[in-house]
Amino acid sequence: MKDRLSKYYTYGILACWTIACFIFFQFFYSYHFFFKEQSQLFLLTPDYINSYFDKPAWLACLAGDFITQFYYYEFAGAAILTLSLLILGDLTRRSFDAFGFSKFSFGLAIVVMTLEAICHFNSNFSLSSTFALIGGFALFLLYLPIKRNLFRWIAAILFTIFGYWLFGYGSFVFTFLLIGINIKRKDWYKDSILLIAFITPLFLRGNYLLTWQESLTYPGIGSLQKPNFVTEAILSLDNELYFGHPQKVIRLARKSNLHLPEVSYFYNLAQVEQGTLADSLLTFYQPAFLGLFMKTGPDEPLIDLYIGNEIYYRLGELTLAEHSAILADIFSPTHRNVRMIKRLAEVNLINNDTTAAMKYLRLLNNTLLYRKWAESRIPNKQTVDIKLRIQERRKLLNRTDTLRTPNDFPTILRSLLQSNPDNRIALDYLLCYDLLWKNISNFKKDYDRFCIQTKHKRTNRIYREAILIYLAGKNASLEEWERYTIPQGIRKDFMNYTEIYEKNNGNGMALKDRYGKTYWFYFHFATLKRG
Amino acid sequence: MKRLIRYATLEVLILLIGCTPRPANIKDIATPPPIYPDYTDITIPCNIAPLNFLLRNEADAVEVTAQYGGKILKINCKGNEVCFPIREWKALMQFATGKEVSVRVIAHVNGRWLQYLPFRWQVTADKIDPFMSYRLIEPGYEVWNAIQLKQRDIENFDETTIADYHLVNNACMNCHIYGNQNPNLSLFYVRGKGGGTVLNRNGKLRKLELKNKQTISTGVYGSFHPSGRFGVFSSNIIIPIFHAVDSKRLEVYDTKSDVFVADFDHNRIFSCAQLSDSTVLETFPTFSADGKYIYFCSARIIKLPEKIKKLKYSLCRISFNAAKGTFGTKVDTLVNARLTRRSVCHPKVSPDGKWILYTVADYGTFLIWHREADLQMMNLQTGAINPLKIVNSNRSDTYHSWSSTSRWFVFASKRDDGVYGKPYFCYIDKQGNVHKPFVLPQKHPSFYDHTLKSFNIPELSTGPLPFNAIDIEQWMKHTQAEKFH
Repeated sequence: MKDRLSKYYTYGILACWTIACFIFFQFFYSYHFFFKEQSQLFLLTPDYINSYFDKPAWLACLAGDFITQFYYYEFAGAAILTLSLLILGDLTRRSFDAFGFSKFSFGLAIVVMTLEAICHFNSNFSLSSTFALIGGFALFLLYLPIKRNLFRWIAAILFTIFGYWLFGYGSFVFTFLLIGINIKRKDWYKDSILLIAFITPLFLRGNYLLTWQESLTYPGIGSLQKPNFVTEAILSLDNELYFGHPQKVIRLARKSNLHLPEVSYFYNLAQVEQGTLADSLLTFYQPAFLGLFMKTGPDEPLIDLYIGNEIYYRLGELTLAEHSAILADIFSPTHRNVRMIKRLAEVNLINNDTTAAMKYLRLLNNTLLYRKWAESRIPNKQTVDIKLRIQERRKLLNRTDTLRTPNDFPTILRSLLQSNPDNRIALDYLLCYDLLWKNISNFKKDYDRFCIQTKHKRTNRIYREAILIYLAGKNASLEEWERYTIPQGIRKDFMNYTEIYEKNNGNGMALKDRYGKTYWFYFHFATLKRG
Repeated sequence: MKRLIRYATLEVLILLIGCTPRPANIKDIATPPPIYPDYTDITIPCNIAPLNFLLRNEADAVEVTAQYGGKILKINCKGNEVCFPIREWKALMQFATGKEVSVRVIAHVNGRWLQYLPFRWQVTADKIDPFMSYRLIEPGYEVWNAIQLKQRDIENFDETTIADYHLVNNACMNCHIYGNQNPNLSLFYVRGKGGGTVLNRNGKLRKLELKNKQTISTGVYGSFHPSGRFGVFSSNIIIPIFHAVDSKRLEVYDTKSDVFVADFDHNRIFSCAQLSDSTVLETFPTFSADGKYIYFCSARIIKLPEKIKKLKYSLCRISFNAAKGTFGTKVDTLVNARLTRRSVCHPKVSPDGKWILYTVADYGTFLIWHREADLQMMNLQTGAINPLKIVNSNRSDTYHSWSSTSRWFVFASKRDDGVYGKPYFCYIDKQGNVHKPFVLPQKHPSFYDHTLKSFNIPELSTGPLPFNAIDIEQWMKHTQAEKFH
């Protein structure tokens, strides 16, 4: 009866752990799975599979990377990880049972599973590392039934060496368990295996081109860390935009309450896609231009490199979209990133560079999950819809060549507008860029040049508020006032705002409630930090 | 049990037979086979690795027959990839040296066996140097990650790593260059903290700080004196900048550049007024085959980047006295950019001293994204220029180096996809005729489709290098750089 009860407790705890693990990773951390899936490029080609032999732990890495592809599907990431951790736990329990620790083995298994789950909070920690551990435990369980002493010796040596080849650092699990069981069996002299276990990686590191630290921890030992909900929030915005859900991006950005350039970046991107950037700009945290563009360069954080190409792609600035995507691809953990390869294919299709586009489409054609996407974009096989989308994007391209640094945003935007005054996104981004920098004089010039002269009039309240600042500051003539046809209501508000401002000696508190979302308030009270 | 084994064996046999389908009811078509890489009608050295290729169509089985006289190499493959067994390939090459091999391709496409027009391989007895070094880098160029310097045995598919960024604190590395195509005379530069120029001379490694107070940077582009005692280098202040239209992507220009000579015996750097004029950009220096001249490129400093399209380099030379360590006073202009209205870069003199090979483009100094960048070759005895029409493509063709025999050169070309550079070999016969180039063969013919690395600065050599990546790791870690004055 007692045994039965204990069994029920065990199953109960396991079921709770499983549900908790699945729920946490699915409902609070699921965008990390998309990131991990996108941060690799698993090809079903002999040379790619062959490349796994260039490093230790080829079996763990091959299996881990292959299965990571399926994180692509919703719910799959949490399900795969939970299942993998359960397998790890089961093997852990069975291994400790062999030591006669039946009473504690379940608890130990739960501890191992939990620690490994914590390692997965890191966006760069791969499933391969968990598989490496599973491999180590599996080797030990394979070793246990061997009866004859000579065979045990041979198996211990072979498993230690081949264990490293197959499972990398996971082979140390086998070694330590082996030492433990030998201590229990008072079979001390087999502990010399430890020497082989440490010599093997160091001996092979020249072939694998690893530092000695890497050679002992390959494919990555992980670390205990808190869940990074900030990264999760950024990844959620990034992926929802990628999936084509701008409304959800806006909702998530507002809900996140995070004052981060990356969050503002996605908020602004989602708004501009819907044509509402100007109207919503000041309803959200704006860290000057950093909410409009991500800085591009090798010293920027990976996440910024990863998301940076989105705005350039939407603007039609494809040289920088390509540059940014290549950077993200280069700095991805495996130096290959399927989402960036897709972006590079799109960029080159729009640029009409068929041979370059085919390079990337061929790569994607050799994947399991992006084959269809690639096939539908191969020139001469494109659907009407895709052809139209490409043609639409082509209209945004620069027509004249200029040279600029990647972070010279106004020049980039003006050049795009010069080539195509209908580029709505570029126009809103340029005007908002000027406004966020409080550069009223540039704003006025850009407004005149790209709105008035090209008859792409922008009647958004924020632009009119900014023009009022210019007109008032310049003591403009009546003619000039009339040129901008600013409604009476906004003029009245402006006069009222000025009156309160002057009456309170520039104290913002008196204005905040009524005018806190106006450009006048931003212009007077927002502080700009360079950097 | 026996029956089970018998059935299993039968199954395996059926599978094996299934792997090698044979042609039947063949239909002749009057087009060349759509093979990649393009190995049709080329001249190849007798010591080259098998020219494995694939068919760029729906082929699901291929039969290839390569034949000279009575020697036939026939293979049947499932899928669209053709990989020759190396031993049979070597035998065919040996037998057909100096002769022409005819290659016939029959492919099973959409349920039909199609026989394409045959093509030929002219196998020349002029061997290519058997080793080649190159840098593998993503085509971002102003950034790096996972850079490696590699060495490839061209006679087979063996590739070794000579330096790995991982093992040198994730530092960027400049390309590896040889002196006289000699594996015991080479150098490359490791950037960053603890970096320096790694000189391999007579099998001994040294780490050098190749700059002094007068130089504007450490050595960037360089070349060895035939004696191995001197190296000539440019020092450059390099600025990367982006184009707005797609085709050229990245432009890189120098705001300053000079040329200097380094004496490796006495750790001394020296130059002359003609090579370090502050109003002129001097770069891409290289010694002549006899070491009596330094060839270099030079352009007047103009306002950059605004006038980048007017930045055109001329090909010049100045005499050099190795015994005294002195320069001549007169600079000869071999190709005048003002007259040709094109920019000359990367001159390299052939080991026999007969030719100088260089790249020309509309403007600038960094030509890897210039589609119009082409190779040209000047006969140094007559001054005649060969535009190398058969060699060049409509994408960037640049970064070349000679084989020790002067019969072959290798260059990096972006002709396949416009983004990733690959090493192409080109043959020059005794009469000076150049032949159609071909890309470095790979074990898996789809290799170039799947790699995301460019082959940067391919350089040929007569043998394997006497060091590897682990030697470099240890050397960089434990050695102080020797100062130059």
